[in-house]
Amino acid sequence: MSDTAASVCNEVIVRGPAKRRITLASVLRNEYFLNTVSLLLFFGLWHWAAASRVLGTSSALATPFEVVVRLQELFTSTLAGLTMWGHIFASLRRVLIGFIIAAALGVPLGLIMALNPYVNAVVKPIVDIFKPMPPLAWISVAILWFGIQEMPKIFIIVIGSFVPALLNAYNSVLLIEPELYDVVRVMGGGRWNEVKQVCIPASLPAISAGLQIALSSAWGCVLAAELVSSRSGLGYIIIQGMKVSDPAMVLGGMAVIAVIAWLMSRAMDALDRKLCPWRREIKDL
Amino acid sequence: MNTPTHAANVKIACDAVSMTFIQKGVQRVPVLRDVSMEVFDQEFLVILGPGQCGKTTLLRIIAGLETPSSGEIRLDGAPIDGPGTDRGLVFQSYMLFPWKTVLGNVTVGLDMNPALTPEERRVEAKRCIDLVGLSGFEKYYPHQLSGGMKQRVGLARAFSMQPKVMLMDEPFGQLDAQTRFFMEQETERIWLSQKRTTLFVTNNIDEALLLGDRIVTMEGKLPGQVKASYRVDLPRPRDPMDIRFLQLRQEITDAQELTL
Repeated sequence: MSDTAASVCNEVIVRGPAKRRITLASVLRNEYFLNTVSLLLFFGLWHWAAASRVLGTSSALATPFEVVVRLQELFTSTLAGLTMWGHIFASLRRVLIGFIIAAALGVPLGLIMALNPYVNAVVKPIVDIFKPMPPLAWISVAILWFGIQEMPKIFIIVIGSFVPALLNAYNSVLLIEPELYDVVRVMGGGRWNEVKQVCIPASLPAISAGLQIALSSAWGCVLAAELVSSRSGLGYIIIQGMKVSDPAMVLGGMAVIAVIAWLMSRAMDALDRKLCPWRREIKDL
Repeated sequence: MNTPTHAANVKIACDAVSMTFIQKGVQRVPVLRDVSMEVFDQEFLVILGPGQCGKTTLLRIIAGLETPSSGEIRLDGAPIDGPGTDRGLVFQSYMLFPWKTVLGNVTVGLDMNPALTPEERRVEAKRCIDLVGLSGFEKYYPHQLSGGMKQRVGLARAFSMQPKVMLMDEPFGQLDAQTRFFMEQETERIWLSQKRTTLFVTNNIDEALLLGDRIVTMEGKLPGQVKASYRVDLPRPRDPMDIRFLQLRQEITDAQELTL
């Protein structure tokens, strides 16, 4: 890589790190080396704790190997008529439907509230009432209103992810530098151009961050809903594992949730990178 | 004090402009009082004054971003009522859109003109980028540029609308001394090539003397008032060590209560 990327007259942009020599000290300080050590220690301790029955009975904790074996069984055989893939699909479907409804309602409402003081004055008090309420508090009414099918679960997810989606969109607009609107105004742009050219792009990074929070909230909600009443989904696998005293199944379900939620978070990251390329590059430089 | 020679070639006329801001709903802060002055066609006029003297407010009123409490501003004889593409504004803190590339930032105003085809927009933006010396940087994002380069984008963006007058609000106030001097020379080069009427606000007396055909000084305290006007009859490019440059510098400094 060349050192100097480009320059105009006396102004220069320099890129590219210098190469470093490898020594014992540099390996010990290496981020990835330390990551590996940390993970090995974690799985080692886990295995030791499970194998030596630190927590008492044999049904309290399974070793990592037992979890892997149990997971393999769950993926090939069926539980309540579904393989693991079926359960993953059931949870994923609920999360996606609920999350998309919440984002489609919350983000535009947040933007409109920030842009229009009258809408804000009407909607804000209602939002403030519901904002501090934990979404799981809604489970009981959701079951009372919608029974035990898909509806109450999706309802809980919408409730749980709506608030972070709305609040982040709302706050992002309030934080925009007012002079940025002047740029559009001095070049003859009206209110609509202010919104289109400044408001929406300037708030995209915060909206995207809000959707990340909304997504993790959606996963929390789907599990809680499935733990309470369900015949499918990853929460059902965990609760079933608990009922039959099968710690490998409980941990296996937890591991699958972690992997799926991580993958979705990465997908959101990739989308964010696509939508806000200017923001990521700050890190790269 | 210089008086206008021809009413016909007055480009901008400020007529007894006063401005009072109302803070926290009650407190009245007078920012400008009875400001009257003219900017002539093709003139490079510098408004010189220390910080907090209302000069930025005056520029924002001329840009149409603020409405004066009383008084009137006319551009080519027509009263100003709100912002318009006939006035280009360069901001002190650049105000580039971080989500747009250099090309995107320069095209912002052109994109709002439905009369232009995409090709015309691109050609015009390219012309302005070339004019400010940023060719080759079209695809860079603002955070990848130095301060001087950012303000070049700000200049190109203002030029893209082909305004009748350029309004520049302490455009180089955030730059280091070397880059600042360099950008002042660039501003002079561009102005000489176009002779576009320019109203340049600064708190830096050397910048004012390097660039201005005429310098209008303002009182050093609120409410802002015009204090004096000086004609700078020195050949360009000007030499800050030239004796007449230094004499005029002394004259202006002596007349201001505050050191500039």
